[in-house]
Amino acid sequence: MLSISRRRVLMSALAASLSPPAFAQQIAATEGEIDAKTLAAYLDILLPADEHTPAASALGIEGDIIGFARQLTQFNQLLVLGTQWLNQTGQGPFHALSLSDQGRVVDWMRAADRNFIPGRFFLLVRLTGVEFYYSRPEAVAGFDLNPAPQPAGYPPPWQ
Amino acid sequence: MAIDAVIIGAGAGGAAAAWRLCNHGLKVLILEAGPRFDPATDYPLTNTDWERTGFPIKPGSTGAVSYGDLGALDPADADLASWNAVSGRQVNSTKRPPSATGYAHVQGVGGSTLQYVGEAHRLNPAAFRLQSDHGAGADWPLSFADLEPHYRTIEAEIGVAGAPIAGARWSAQDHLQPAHPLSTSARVLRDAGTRMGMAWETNTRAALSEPKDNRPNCNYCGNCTRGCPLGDKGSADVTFIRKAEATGRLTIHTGAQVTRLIMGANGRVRAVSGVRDGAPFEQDTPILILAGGAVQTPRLLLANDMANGSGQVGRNFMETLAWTSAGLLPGLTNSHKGLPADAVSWTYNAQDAVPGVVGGCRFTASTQETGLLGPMAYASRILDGYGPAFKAQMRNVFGSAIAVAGTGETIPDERSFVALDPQRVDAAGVPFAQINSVLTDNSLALLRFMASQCRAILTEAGVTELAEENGVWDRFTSTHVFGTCRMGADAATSVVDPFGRSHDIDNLYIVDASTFPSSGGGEAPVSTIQALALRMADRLVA
Ligand SMILES: Cc1cc2nc3c(=O)[nH]c(=O)nc-3n(C[C@H](O)[C@H](O)[C@H](O)COP(=O)(O)OP(=O)(O)OC[C@H]3O[C@@H](n4cnc5c(N)ncnc54)[C@H](O)[C@@H]3O)c2cc1C
Ligand code: SF4
Repeated sequence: MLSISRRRVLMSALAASLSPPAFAQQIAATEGEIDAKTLAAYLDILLPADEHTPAASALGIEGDIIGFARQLTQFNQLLVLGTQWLNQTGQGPFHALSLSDQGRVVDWMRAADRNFIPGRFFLLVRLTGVEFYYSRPEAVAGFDLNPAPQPAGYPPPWQ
Repeated sequence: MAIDAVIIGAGAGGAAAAWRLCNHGLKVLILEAGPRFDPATDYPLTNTDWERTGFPIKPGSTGAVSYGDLGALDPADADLASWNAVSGRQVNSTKRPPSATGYAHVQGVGGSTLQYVGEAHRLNPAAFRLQSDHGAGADWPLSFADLEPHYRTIEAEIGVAGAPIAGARWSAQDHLQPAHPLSTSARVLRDAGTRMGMAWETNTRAALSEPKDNRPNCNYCGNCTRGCPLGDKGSADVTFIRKAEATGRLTIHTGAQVTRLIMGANGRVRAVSGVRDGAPFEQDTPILILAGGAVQTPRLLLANDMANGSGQVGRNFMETLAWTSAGLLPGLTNSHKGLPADAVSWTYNAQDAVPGVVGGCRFTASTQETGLLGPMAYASRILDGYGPAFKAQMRNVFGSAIAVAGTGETIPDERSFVALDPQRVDAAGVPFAQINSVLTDNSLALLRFMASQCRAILTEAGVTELAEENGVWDRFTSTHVFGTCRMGADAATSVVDPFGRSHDIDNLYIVDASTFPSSGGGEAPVSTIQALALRMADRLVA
């Protein structure tokens, strides 16, 4: 089997995931902008800071995702719709909710039907979020990893 | 410049043929559609975001390929679906689509070996008699003994490392470099497989365990399919191409796509023409050798309506069955370190080794090969969750992924073929190569065996919950493809003779994977492609 460009894999997974007619219809008529603040707050629930590593927003992961979504209209529309939906889950925008309220919303989304916006948003934003996050050296502190596989490689012995 | 032979394609077969012909004193021109890759600068393995990148794509480095009928997905076979712990089922469709890679290949100096893992296998000696012994597919018009000396030359020139179990396939191995050490997950798989009664051994690998020809030894970064920046992997660019260029008798034109084969008055090919870096060219040649691979070579012949007296050009397409199961094994560490595909089992490789099935398969340690090498792969494929607990778990489990793969044989079937795409043409006006490939009941039975064996090995190793499975039932993915210009003794049923020469055109030869009458039981093909190329070259000058 292969290891090919994650970008290509991700693009094709997102396209396949968003193309079924029922789902495409849900996002087709979407207008507006992605709420970057809400996306950042959402990503921080997924990937918060801890004693070793920063939160997603500290690395600007929401910006990476928004930039990536520019290449894939349907994903961009999902982000618009998803952040709009998040902003309607409480009193005021999602990024202004308390951390515990934000956490409750994300817990619910994780269990939601993935054929509808909240569940699909959870799956695809998590997928893109971890890809961008764990490609950053700051995010892999505490892992037994070289900054990159080369030039040192991993000479034996290995236990 | 006076040229003795033109070769189309600088991949596995073309490079080996060029080296041998140059050593025989011939002046050779390779016309290669793709670019050169520079191992030191083109491969991304020193970048911190390495995990987001795959083998680089350069202008002209992918061929014009489309897909026709890849078969339907019967829900009754859903036990063979690809899935992972994060996203669930990967394909929800009634038809089998191509994966993101589909027919995996590279156009460039080195061809698909630039991206290959570097397994260096010899075909099972029994695999040459598929029709005679098992009543399926076709026999090879030659035997293992005809190829054995050429295998040996190739392995010595490239620098193959390994310590295979001695037997008919490996009667002598004094020319091999010392075997590579087994990675942590390969040791676990070997032990588990052995307890189940399988024979496991170190894989024979075209990756240096000792420096050779100004190439360093492998440093076990695990990323061969992203391109080896050290040049220790035995891809054709750093081995046969480099050696052939050192003779001073090889010229390579990159960015040169051949589109037409031009016949002379005497029933021989006189010249080829095509497009080089956007400009048309024509090149005369006394001898023409096709080495474009099992998809592009039939495309070229079909587009020119040549060498097809048998009607077999493009037919007998064989994809490779592939299955991988993966999980997390508590207590296992450092499984991202080491050489991909470092251990192998040939126990089920013979064509009758799996009950009820014609065709063999082999199993390989594949933790690195399947890309479980960094945190991105863990988080996006095998470890679900989010929040502080997820991040802590990522750190705890990293290095404990373990994967085992099966690679298996398909038998030629009339629904599997390469044709000219009726709709799409490339920039040079040539129809795309359209791949049609359908899994038969026999293929599904073998795939199911491979899947159940992979699951059983992981269970025996101590994995309690699988985290990912990938197979070809629901996504056409093929790194090894064969058969579309079948070799045979009979001009009525084959395209080339036992030395790769066209039955129809005296000065036309083929030295790529298209000539394989059968694929073998999951063996990686490059050594056999190159052994055939050497055999053809020796015959040509004899
Ligand atoms: C990810 C991956 C892993 C693999 N791992 C292994 C492994 O471990 N061991 C193994 O043995 N095999 C492996 N393989 C398979 C192996 O790489 C191929 O089987 C082999 O390279 C095929 O050799 P070939 O000579 O038939 O064609 P290729 O190596 O594909 O070369 C064909 C060349 O011809 C050129 N060409 C085609 N048409 C034209 C034209 N019209 N004009 C000019 N040039 C043209 C192409 O640009 C290309 O460079 C792997 C393949 C992949 C993709
Ligand atoms: S594992 Fe070895 S052969 Fe493979 S890319 Fe790394 S250094 Fe090269």
